[in-house]
Amino acid sequence: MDRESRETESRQLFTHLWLQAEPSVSAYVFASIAGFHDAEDVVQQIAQELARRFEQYDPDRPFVAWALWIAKSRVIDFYRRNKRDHLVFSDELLKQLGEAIAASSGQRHERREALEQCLEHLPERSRQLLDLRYVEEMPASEIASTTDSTTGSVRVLLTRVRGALAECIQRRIAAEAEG
Amino acid sequence: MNVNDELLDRFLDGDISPQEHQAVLSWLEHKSEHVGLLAERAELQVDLRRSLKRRGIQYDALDTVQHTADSVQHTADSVEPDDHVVRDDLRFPVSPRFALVVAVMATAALLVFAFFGNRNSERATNVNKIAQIVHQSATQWVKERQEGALIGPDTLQLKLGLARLNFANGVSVALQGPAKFEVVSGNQVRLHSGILTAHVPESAIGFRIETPALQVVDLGTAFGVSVGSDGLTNVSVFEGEVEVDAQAETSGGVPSQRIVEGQAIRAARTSTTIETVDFETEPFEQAWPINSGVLQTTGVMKFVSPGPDFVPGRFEDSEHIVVFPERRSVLLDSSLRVDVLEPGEYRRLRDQPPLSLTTGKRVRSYLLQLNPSDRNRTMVMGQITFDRPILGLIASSRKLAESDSVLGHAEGIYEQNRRGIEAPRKDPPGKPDRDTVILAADKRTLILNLGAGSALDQIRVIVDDPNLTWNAESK
Repeated sequence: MDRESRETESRQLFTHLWLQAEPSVSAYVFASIAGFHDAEDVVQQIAQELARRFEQYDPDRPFVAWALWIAKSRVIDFYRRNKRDHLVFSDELLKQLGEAIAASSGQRHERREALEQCLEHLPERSRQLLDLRYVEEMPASEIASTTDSTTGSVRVLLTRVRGALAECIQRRIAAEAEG
Repeated sequence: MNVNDELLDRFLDGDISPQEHQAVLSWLEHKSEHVGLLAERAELQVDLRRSLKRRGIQYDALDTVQHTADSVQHTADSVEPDDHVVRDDLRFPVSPRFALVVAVMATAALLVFAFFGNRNSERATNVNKIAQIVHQSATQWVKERQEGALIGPDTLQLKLGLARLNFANGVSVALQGPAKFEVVSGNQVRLHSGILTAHVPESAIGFRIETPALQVVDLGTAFGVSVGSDGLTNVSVFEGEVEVDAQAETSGGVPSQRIVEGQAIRAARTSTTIETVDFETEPFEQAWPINSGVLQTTGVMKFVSPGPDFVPGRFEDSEHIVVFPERRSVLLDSSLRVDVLEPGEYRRLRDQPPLSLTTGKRVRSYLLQLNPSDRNRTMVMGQITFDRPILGLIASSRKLAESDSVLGHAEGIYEQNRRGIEAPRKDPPGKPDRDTVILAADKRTLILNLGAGSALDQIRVIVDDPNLTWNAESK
């Protein structure tokens, strides 16, 4: 196989592996860095670094574990850049978080499928609230002023909707397993 | 302190006091199971955001529905927890912003109704507008189409010219005539003949283009498709990757093929195999700039060819001011030093007072570059018109370098030494200033006049790039 073919094959393999691992990497970064926008930037940096260093990847290891290992370094870089020398995850906590996410990555696809189905059945007003938070990207305080409610009430309601969805996901996965 | 789901959610949102933050960290360090709970919650939020954004874009498209959410019977089974997740006391006031939200939500509810409840043909007609012609240039249609026209499921026949359609889910398609193009749904189109280029954002991954020979399914990408009168189909991938399947009935069982950026394939109408061919950009060079937000270039200004090799640092052209698209949909959430903010004629960009662009908006960026091989050339002029307003220009080396990490192309290679417009030399007696940069009053057109012997290296153009769907743009 010539060099060009090998490069093409390598690029295809990387794209395939990254598409599978990206949701886990995003969850890892989002858990360790508050705020979606910062997290998105860091995930982008991680993707670039993984692509650049793909030759170093050992195919005998799960790709998601390698990606999360790189992600940990980029999160620490983010802490340093933003001078977050306190109130950040310790090295050990970042390691545990990576292990937890890697361990649950096997069923990730099923959980996302279940979420799609659960969203279809969400009551309209719950859906409106989620859209204000995730589509309009409003913080709880802004949702409260838009809906003539209080920030505390909005926070609680958001948590309840997420909780309801989490339960729905678990129910559906359990039903699938039984069926 | 009791760490519950509500506190974890606020921890993830960054909506938390330092004391609460410390309490969550201590709680996480106390038991490894707690870390697992945080991981689950983070995963749910990431997936929710992604799914709702994708759906939200689709719902926004359905702008003609006048019914309110209350008029729609919700018939699906509920995942609502005790005593209603969102109570009636969460009232939604009638403000313009809210009115939009209500319209979107009502539309969403109607969509659910349309899919799961009794179908209503009248309503279906209202919600079937799924794309809009947002730009056209020198077009001749078989059936007259105006810029701004909303398109439902329909076949468009373009005899001549270029037209761009924006779909509700963020997909943009540029058609080059002669072409016969059919809008099937928000997620599926058919190209019977002609040339198109498409940019498909992450929110619309899975967008499908059918031709007589192939089905092309986007996996997050930009690509071009050409179909001859005999159905012969060429697909070239500019960014990302697509999946292709042969259409021929006898191709059952032939596995899908993935085509990544820089690759091209070809298939005939009756062919059961897909042939790899050389990556050619030429067929798509007229349509592609329109997908990239550039409506027109004149003079020595030239939009770069599509494809992974045509990025800053990898491609040079000493004859033209080359326009590289760099980044899309970048949220500028901190100030960025720029050289020009307002329309006007600028002769000494380096002498401008320091300016900052702090928008909180989403922007895209382009790099204009000229590496003249002939310093003795005569004056050159180039003009470029964008589809959205220019928010700022960067022309000094230091500011260009500062903005590379935010606005530079992900695959670009940027020099760190002198890059901006060369400091003007002393003009010969009787000669006007050499280099002139004009930002037109509409802020969409940029004109560069470059004097003999001057060396423009690079100018970065920052253009407004809101997450508007076509219905919002049309208002």
